[in-house]
Amino acid sequence: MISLGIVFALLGAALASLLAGTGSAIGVGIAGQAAAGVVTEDPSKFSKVLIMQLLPGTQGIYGLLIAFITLSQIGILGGSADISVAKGLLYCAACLPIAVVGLLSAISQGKAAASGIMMIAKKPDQMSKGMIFAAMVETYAILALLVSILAIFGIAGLNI
Amino acid sequence: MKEYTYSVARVRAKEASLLTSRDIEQLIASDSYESALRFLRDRGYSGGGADDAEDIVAAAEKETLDFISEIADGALLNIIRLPVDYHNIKASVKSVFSGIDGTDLLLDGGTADKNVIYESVRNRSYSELDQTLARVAEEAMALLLRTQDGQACAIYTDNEMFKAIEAEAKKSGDAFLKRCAAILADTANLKAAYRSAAAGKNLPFIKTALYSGGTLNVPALAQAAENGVDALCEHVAATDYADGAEYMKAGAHLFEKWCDDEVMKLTDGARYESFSPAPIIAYYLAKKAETGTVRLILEGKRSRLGDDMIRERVRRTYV
Repeated sequence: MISLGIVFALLGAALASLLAGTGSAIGVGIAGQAAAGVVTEDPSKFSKVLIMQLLPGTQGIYGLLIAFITLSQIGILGGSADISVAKGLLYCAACLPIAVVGLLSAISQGKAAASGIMMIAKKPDQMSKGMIFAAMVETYAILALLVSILAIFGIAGLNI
Repeated sequence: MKEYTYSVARVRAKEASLLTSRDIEQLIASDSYESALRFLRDRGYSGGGADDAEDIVAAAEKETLDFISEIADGALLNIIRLPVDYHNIKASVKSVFSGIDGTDLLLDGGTADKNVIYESVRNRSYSELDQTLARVAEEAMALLLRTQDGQACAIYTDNEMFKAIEAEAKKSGDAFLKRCAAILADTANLKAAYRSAAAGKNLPFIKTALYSGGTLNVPALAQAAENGVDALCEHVAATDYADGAEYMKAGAHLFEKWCDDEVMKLTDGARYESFSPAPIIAYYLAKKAETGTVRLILEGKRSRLGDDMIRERVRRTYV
């Protein structure tokens, strides 16, 4: 019988990609609505607003990265998949920062990006400022990504 | 919750082409009617190649309503379109009563087709109108036939319009739309009270002229208006519209300008909103104020009025 450890670890990997990916989808969707509105009136702004629309997409990539590292660490992608319950729970916990922060920060970043896109519609020369405002939200997703990465690699060395 | 992100983004893109205070100042400073028209054409007032001020402004107004119809729906759109319906009812009833062809007075952009309203009133058959419009059109016609008083008919129709706008805003549950409806009703009541006070109307008339909704204490406002302009100023000074009292003392056109500016204040917070309906209403009000200002300046230029006289009547701009 397979140990429950692998189940918890896999749950963590799934949450990382699921929640962060959902957040990014919502965030990119919000920014996309604003981008479509601006391009309807002024198609020449397509490239500018596209860059802004993509900003909330990074959380989904971070979630994927964490999920991928976790899967390779726990042996799902090859090797032995036999890990203890305690280690499985630790992997699950290690995935949570990027899962939760990824979800919430991507939605917030989508709103900031949508407002930035509206700013570009009125003042195209202020695009860099709009990008900075949206990118500030990214800081917290990166911090969560770092914690998740450090934790996952740290767990691998534990003998439990 | 309804999403407005796409619509607001379109509005933001359009706002870039609104006339700024500097543009208005430049327009006022134009040395002739023709140069004012040239300036406006450069700023997007094409008017389909028309040379007449009214045609140019009417084309811009139609373009604005078409744009709003594209990006808004439900209560938000109805709040903008209902005044057109009620104007069309008023114009139809008065022209049918007088036996003249009033189709030129009708406006496009209402919730009901202007010709349907006109024909319904002409034939006294209201089945093609929705329930509320049919009731108001029928009652307005009956009132005019009974009293032969055009003013009473206009007051009845306007009050029904404010009632309909307030009902739409309430139905939407949106706080901004409710505030819009309240300010529209309040400023209309202040204007009606001021005009009644200035004309020395009696209390029964004033009570009929005022709309019973909004945020003001309407019976007290009516009582103050009956006692004259000074009493009205004193009463208004104790309300949320205290600034208005000063303008009442300053004169009719300054007070009416203040009322319009008060409605434009709704747009103040809208500059920083990205996800609510406020910027859409704000754009509509801004564009309406802009076309009104352009009409005023062009008419002033055509009549060779002095720049200062035109400037005194110009409303505040959104951008």
